[in-house]
Amino acid sequence: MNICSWAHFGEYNIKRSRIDVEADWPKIPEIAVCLACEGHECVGACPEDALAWEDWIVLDKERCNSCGKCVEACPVNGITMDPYTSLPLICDTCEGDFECVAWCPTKALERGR
Amino acid sequence: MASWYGYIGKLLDVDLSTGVITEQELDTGLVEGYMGGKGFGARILYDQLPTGCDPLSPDNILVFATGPLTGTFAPASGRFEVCTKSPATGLWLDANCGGFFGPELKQAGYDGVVGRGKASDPVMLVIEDSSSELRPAPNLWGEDVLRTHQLVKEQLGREFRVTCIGPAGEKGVKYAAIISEYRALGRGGAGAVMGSKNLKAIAVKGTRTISVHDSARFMKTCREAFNELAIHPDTGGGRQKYGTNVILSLMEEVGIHPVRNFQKAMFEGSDRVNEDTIVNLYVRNKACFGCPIYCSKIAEVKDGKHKGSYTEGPEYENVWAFGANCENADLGSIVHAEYLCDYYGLDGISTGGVIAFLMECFEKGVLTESDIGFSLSFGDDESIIKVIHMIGIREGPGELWGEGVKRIAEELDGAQDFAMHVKGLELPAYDPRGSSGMALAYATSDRGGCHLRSWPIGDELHATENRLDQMAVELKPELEKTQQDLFCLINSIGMCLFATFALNLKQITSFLHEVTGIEAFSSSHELMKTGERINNLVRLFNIREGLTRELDTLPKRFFEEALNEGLSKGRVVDLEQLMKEYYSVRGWNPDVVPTGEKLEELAIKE
Repeated sequence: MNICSWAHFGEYNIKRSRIDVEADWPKIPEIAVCLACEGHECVGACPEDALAWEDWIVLDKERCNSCGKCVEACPVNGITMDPYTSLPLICDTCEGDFECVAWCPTKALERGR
Repeated sequence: MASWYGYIGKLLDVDLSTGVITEQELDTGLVEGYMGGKGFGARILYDQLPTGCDPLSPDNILVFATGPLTGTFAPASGRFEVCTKSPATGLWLDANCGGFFGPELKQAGYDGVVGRGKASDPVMLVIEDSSSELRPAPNLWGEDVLRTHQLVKEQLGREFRVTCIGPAGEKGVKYAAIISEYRALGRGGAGAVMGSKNLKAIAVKGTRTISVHDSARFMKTCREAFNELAIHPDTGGGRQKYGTNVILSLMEEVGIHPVRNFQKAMFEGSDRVNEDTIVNLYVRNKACFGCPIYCSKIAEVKDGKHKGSYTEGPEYENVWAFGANCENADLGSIVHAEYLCDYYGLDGISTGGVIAFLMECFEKGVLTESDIGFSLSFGDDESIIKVIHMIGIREGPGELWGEGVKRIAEELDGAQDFAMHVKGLELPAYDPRGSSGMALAYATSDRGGCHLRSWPIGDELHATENRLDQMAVELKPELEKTQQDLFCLINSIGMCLFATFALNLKQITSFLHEVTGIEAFSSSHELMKTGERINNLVRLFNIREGLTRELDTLPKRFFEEALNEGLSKGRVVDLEQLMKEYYSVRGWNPDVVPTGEKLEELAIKE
């Protein structure tokens, strides 16, 4: 989560990560992240056409009005809102670089599609 | 300093008596001289705690503190400390904890929280993005630790990170722990101090960024450190697979795994309770914040009387405390015992130590069935569970048992000789008759019987016999001093001690310098001096609170009763020479007080 915020914002802040570990203690934590689903529900849900699929989800910051419809639409809870900018945080695979996969110390992450 | 790197730059001061909460800017002198975590606690308690105060009175101060690495990308950097005066020893206490609370506290805007006074009614401290308040918590008081976590999260939101006490802390059990989402600030009774202040829980949440001074170099050091941890046989192998139980069989083989309240060295149940049987209970790995070692496990009992019981663990020390030390070979009951310690908010090592001690009292006829209402023989797993319940709510004889081994022994005729504690803190799972290093470690530890102020057995076992014999006196005082200083440093920076198995001081220095940008942190030599400075200040604190040379010792059993089995057969501890050399290496005078010269060298202002 730290690497995600570092790769995108150059800072260590897990609250700005596109990977969320849903820790509802004492339940076992679950990882929530965009799984690049075929339906692109978030793209369809966006009333401002701010989201598009171009090998990953791309956000048009100018169009986004922070309504949060994409967060509700995501079937895997893979979207959170950036507490600083109020823009949605959606995995963009670091534009194909997959920094989280490169840095995962236990090699638990691997590239999907 | 205008802006901080690594640090947030603020401490929160909470007066529970008046309800007044103030923010304090972090002082550059405090940071450069004392680093964070334990160091902050040492300076604050030394400067502010009224000498000789009752640990459970409003006068006592409770310091929660993170370190500069807490919450950064550095591996295993999720740690925070609690420092206070211990109700178990009447001396210094600091306890260290992983999980996610420390990083969240920093994101919420504070390097630490200082709690003082006493609230008139139960309260919970809520900190969210630099705003904080004390909320009445009558609904939480009396609830167990697990339920308290759930209620707080239901009330505030699941994103809040919680640390709290259970019924044991509320009722002042002298070894009550503070629990943070299954991780514990366990030893020495910090939970009782929190309970005495009517502070049931602290909940934190925040979105603040932890800035790093030289990000590019820091990432390179992190990459190197992650690799080192991954290829190390312990942090990248055994500990990942077995958790902390990785050393269980080894300790028995080398003759230092205590059995039957330190009466024996070979455990007949070790075929049922060992790392290979425990690993079968693990259902999931779990890591603290940013940790590649993931030594934590979720274990679930698959069959037997305690089928369905679960815990995060069971950890090595607790497996020993409720297992070999009580001669109990029922693995399910060990898991359940650890669960109950989390439930009531108890320290596992001390709880197991108390039970083993009571069992020996029963064996020797000092306690009888008519005294306690049931039989309490070694190996009786059902009685272990019964006793934990009684201690947790201090019911009947549980009232006295909650005082710890030292005070129970004072109440019972003829029990002093086998009261296994140092300075009032029950001993952990290493028999000093098999390790002169551990003998010295126990006798000189600042919080009493403890294996985490230094862990010389690790070096003793890894070195060849010619270099560092387990029983020899040579080099041990020097090793002890170096380790104590290093561990003081590690407990002050927010990193886990386990990371130091694979990382060297040079890497830790790089981390600190690159994260904070503070020039004083660029020299390993100076950092070790910081460790030594903290250690000496804690020593001064302890001397002021009544520590004397006579208390730097071990239970009588280790001097007089030799083991008659295992590798340590026939051995007793000879402490005199070790202690003499240790004090000399430390530069302490014959009254075991740091000399003026030493204080000047370390620039400690009294």
